[in-house]
This record gives sequence, structure tokens and C-alpha cells, in this order.
Amino acid sequence: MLLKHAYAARLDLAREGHRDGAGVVGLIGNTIPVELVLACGRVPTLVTADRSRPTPEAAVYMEDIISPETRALFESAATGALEFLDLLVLSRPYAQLYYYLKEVQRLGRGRRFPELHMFDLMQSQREAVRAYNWSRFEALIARLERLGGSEITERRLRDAIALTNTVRGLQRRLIELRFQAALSGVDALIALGAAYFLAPEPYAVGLEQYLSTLASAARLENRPRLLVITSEPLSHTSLHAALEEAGALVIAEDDWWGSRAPGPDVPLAGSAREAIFRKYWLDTPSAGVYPAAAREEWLRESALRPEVAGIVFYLPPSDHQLGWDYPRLKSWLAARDKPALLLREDATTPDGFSAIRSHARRFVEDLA
Amino acid sequence: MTLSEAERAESRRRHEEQTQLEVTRTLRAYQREWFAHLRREVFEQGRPYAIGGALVPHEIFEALDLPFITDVWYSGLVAARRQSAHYSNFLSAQGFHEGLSRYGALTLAVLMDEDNPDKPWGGLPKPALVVTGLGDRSADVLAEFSDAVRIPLEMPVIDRPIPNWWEMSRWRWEDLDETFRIDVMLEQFKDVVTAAEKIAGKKLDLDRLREIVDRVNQQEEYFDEVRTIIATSEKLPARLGEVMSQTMGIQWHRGTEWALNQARAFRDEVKRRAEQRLWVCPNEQYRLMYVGAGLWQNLEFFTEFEERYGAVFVRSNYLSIASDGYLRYNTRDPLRCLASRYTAMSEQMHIPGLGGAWAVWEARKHRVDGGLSLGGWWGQRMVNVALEDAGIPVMEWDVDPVDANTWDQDRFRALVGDFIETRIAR
Repeated sequence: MLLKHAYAARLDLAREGHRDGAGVVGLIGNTIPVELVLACGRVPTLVTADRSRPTPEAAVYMEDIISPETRALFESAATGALEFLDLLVLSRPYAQLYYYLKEVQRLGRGRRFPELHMFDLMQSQREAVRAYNWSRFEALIARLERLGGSEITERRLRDAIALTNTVRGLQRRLIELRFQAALSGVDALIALGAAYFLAPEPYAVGLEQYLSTLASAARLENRPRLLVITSEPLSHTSLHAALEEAGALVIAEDDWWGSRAPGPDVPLAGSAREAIFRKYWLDTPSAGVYPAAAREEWLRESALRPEVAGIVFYLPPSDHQLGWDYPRLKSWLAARDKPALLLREDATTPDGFSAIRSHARRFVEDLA
Repeated sequence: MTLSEAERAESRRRHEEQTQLEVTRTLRAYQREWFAHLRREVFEQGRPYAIGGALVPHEIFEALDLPFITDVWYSGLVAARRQSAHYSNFLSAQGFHEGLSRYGALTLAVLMDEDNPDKPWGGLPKPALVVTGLGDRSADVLAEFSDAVRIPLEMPVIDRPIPNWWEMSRWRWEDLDETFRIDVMLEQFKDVVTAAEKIAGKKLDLDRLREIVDRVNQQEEYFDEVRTIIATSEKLPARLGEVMSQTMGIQWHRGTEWALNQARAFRDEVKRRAEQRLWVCPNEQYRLMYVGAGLWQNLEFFTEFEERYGAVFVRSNYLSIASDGYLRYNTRDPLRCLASRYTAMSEQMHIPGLGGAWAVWEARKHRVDGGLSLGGWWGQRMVNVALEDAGIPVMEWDVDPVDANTWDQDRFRALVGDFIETRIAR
């Protein structure tokens, strides 16, 4: 119940907290260390795109090639919906959004904006970017220390890591239960995604309760189990709902809203700063991860699990990158007898939803 | 749409008829010879070569005597030969959907379409090294297909955008581009050097690199002069399509003696035409600018608007960024100099605030009456907003610069005509 409410309420939850006196730091993207925000005494919350609303402000300043997600985020910021935040931190995949917001703010055309901070962590796993990434990491710490008015100590960081590792452990249990068909893909996305909008302690309590109900729940047998590869973050459940209405069961997705949310724990031995830095640089999924072997490591392991009957490539019209990998990945899967389905529609639109459901029905029949 | 041999001959004849600059002819001759030389060396002698993106320090390859070509330039050649539709369709048939940018990827298509003998200048051999931006996944495909070494480059985000960046870029680049941002480009360039040295079989000589960077600076100064002549002459002395082709044709060979000599000849010819008052359109009434990419797939399209309206195109990013983006003085550490150039190369034309300020400054310098903004690049609308705020009408035009599948001659003729009639010639 708590998880469902948090997933649906999203920023409203943070707004409530703000009204009760909590300082809130908004995060755009999954590559910003929440441990740093927790250690500075603020509540971190993910700022997500509301794709259901029109974006007239964004249409004035942004081109059609800008993704619907970025346009929706711009709309929220430009119309004052984020004003209550103490700070809005943007990650590298949202650099364009940062530039647009800064300029509209400079021109005085938007409503009141929160303070902006760009956390430019390059995700490529090359020594060449290490020093730069470390400098950006330290700059974020300095910015949060100014906000919190005190030093972010190793002790505080360790406390924060302990909290987030607890969450990671519980999430990994849920992710494994999905392979046993213990819950639907839609429910899994909700349970995992709620973590981005709740503080770690109440989330851990809520998730633990939910896990205890799953242990005895009836299994969703006789449905072909699918793994989803997506070109845009799945901040919604529309795709999974369409696939599951067609008779499938989504048991994993290569996306930080789902199966890729926790990853391994942050090590508590050694320097906490260094451990957090390495976690977000080298062990956090994003389209910017390079080389491809690192980006696709999870996929290659998970897709070959015997529980996975088929793979769905979700490349909606906003895709400008994953489509280049698609023929190669499809061939790789075909060579391993893993059938694949390509979806090009946008699941968040009514037409797209029903088209996806139709394609998926045929795919499910073929798999059966 | 792929042209038949007869249509191609007719296109060449028309192109020849419209050619006004002698340097256009010498450029074409050089390009043909250069490609033949590349193919001889690579195919017959097995010499390795590199493919690079537009935002790559080619000077490093030049200093190592490693032949290289630029992917978008080659795509431009494919488009100019009216073969972009064929290769775009070829990519689609390979499973790369139509929503993926074809701008640089036509190079990949030419390489992959191994059975097709009809390729610009005989096609391309497989490269040994591929260097482009990290987000360019088509380059990953290209490198894998060619079994080449792939070095991706990542640009740092600009935290403190400085609107009048072009005033600082030549001399005060360490302040403009900030030390920590230059450092991360430098570290990546060291990876490029290591990979290129291994392929070229020799060590990079920094003195030679400095000579090359200095030569590039001289070349960009000639371009700067051409820009000033075009901006300040009574009327336009050289057609923009030729200016763009000349600029980019030289840029892709920058650092060589040929490029420097060609740039000087280009400057001399444009200067002479201006002094002799040889105008592109003696009845010049309206001056327009390209905002963003140029219409590479049909550079001749605008010629008819000279006759119909006395409208000429006087300005493109290509010539202007040559001086404002490329020039870096104080070349004591040439690799650092190059790293500075690429901390924001091209981004400064897109980033809201930076792109708009530059476009407005350029528009005023060139005395333009309006702009055409080809669709498909981020930051475009903010640039258009800045121009409109400055009283310069802009037509936003949703057409791909190279993909002929997006071309509709009659509709576009009407669209541009209507823009000139209703917003420029009021």
C-alpha cells in the first residue's frame, strides 16, 4: 500500500515532506549519489516526467528531437512545480535539460526555479575520465555541504551507505522472486520504483512487508516470461501493462526503474567517499556506459537464464541510440535461441498501447 | 532516389554551369585525386587509415602521417551525389530504423554495402581506427564491422556558459574553457595519440604537431578574412553553396600545405571578386542566413530565389565557426590547445544562450534580413527565439540536411517563397 502510494504520488510526497519542514533535494537521473544527499541531512527525491500532461512551455523552446521525457521535465521546472526544492541536481544524461533551464532562467521567462546543480559524471569506464569525475564528485559534495551548513563526514556517509545497502538487499530479493513468477512486472516496477520517492527507512519497512506477502502468493505460471530492453527509462508501467494484458509476464528489464535499480552493495570497507564514487561511476546503469561489454554485461547474463522465454526491444520514436545496437543484439540472441520482439510504438499513448498489445499477443502465441 | 548515369551527368553539367569560383574546380580535382591516392595506399599497399567525426583533432593524425577521413564529410559527398536515399534505405534494410540519424552514418552504409559498385570515388576501405563522440553508436557499429580500434570522446558539460565566447576563444581559451574541462579532453586525446601511434607505427612529434596547429591557425585566418569580405562587401561575392563546400573541403584536410594554399587561393578569389564587384546576384535585395546545418543534399536549391526575389544566402555556421571555434593562439602546448578547442566545439552553436548570442552577432555582422533554420538539431529553437527577439525573422524548416528521402521540391519551393514574401519582403 505504502509503495503503491509513493509510486503514484511521487513529487507530491516530497512536497508534503517539505510542508512538514523537511529540506528536499530533487535528483534528475539515477547516477547522482543519494548517499551524499542523505549525509547532508536532506531528503532526496527523484524528479520524474509527467508524460500525461501537455507541454506548451517546452514547445516554445525545445525541438521535436528532444525526448518527451526531457520536455515533460522542462515543463515541470518552467511552470514552478519544482520551486519548493532546496536544490535540483541534474545528471549527465540530462545535460541538455540543464542548458535549457539555465537559459530560460537567465531570460527570466520561467516561473521561480530552484537552485540548479549539474553533476557531470561521465559513465565511460576509462581512466581518462577518472580525475574529471572525481572533481565533479567533490564539487557536488561541496555544494551539498554549503546547503547543509556542515561537513559531510565519513561517519555520515557510512550511515547513509548502511541505509541504502539495506534497500539494495531487499530489492535484490524482490528481483530474484520475479524469476519465480511471484509477481507481475507492473507490480515489480511499482515496488522497485517507490524507492526513488521514499526515504530509505520507511521504504525498507514497506518492501520487507511486501516481500513477506510474496512468499506465500500464488505463482503466475503458464505465461511466457519476458525480459525487456528499453531505449528510454521506464518511469511508467504502460509497456509492462500492455505486454501482460497480452498474456506475458515481464520478469526483468534492463533499466534502472526495474531490475537494474540496486546492483551490488556499496562496500563499507575503506574510504566511504571512494566507495560511493566507484559505485556511481562504474556500477550504475545508463546509456552512457562504455564499452558496450560493460553496458551489456547484465543483459547477456540475464537473457540467457532458462526462465527467460523471449526478449522485447522497446525502441519508441524517441530512440536515437539503442537502435544502432539492435541488429547486433538480436543476432546474438537468435544464435542462442532466444526469440525477440521489436516494438517501435510509444506505450504511453492509447494507440501505441493497443498496438503493442497486439504485437505482444502474436509474440506470446509464437512462444507458446 | 539514386540518380542514373545520365541524370548524374546532367547534374554535373548544371553544377558546372553554376560554378563561379575557380577554387571549386581545383577542390573537386584534389578530392578526386586524394581519394584515389587513399585507395591506392590502403588497398594496394595495405596502409591503415582512420575515420574520425567532425569534432576530432585530425591534426594528430596529420602529424603521424596517418590518413583519415571525416564521417560527416563523406556523408555530405554521398548526399551531394544524390545517393543518400539509397544508403539510408540500405541501413533500414539492415535493421537500423529510420529514426536513427543518417548524418554521419552514410559512411557506415557505404562500407557495409559491399556488393554495390556505384560508390562515391570508388567507396571506402575498412578503417583501422574510428574516433567519434561517445554517444555515436553508429561509429561503434562501424568499428566492429571493420574490426577497427574505437576511441570514443566525451565533452564535459559547461557549468558557466559565457554568452560572448567568441571574444575569448582565440587568446583566452584557458579561461573560457576552464582548466578542469580542458584536462579531461587532454586525457582522452592522449588515448587517441596512443592508439594512433600504434597504428601509424611511429611516435608523435610535438614540434611537428605544433607546426600543424600553427598552419591550421593560418588557414582559419584566411577563412576569417573571407567572412569579413562577405559580411562587409556591398553585395555577396561568392555563392554560399560554393563557400560551404570550399570551407569544409579545406577543413577536412586542415594542417596540410595543400589546405593552407587552397585557403589562401579561396581568400584571394573572393577578395578579387569583391574588388571587381562581381556579385552573385547583381539585383541583390535580401540577405539570408543558414541557422545550423546546411542543405548539403541540394546546395543548388536556393539559386532560383536569387532570380525570383533577389534573395541571397550570405552566412552559414561552417565558415564562421572556422574562425570563432577553431582558432587557438599560443600553441606552446599544441595538444592542450587542441583539447581546449574540443571542450565545446559545435556545442557552442547549440547550447541555449551561447548559440543564440552568436547567431544574433553573426546576423548583424552579415546584415541579414532573415534566416532559414534546418530542423533536427537540439538548441535550434532557442537560437531562433534569440534571432526573432532581435528582429530577425526565422523560418524553421523540417528537412534533413543529407537524407534525400525527406526532400519535396515543390513544397519546399513554396515554403521558402512564402517565407520571403510574407516575412522578409514586407
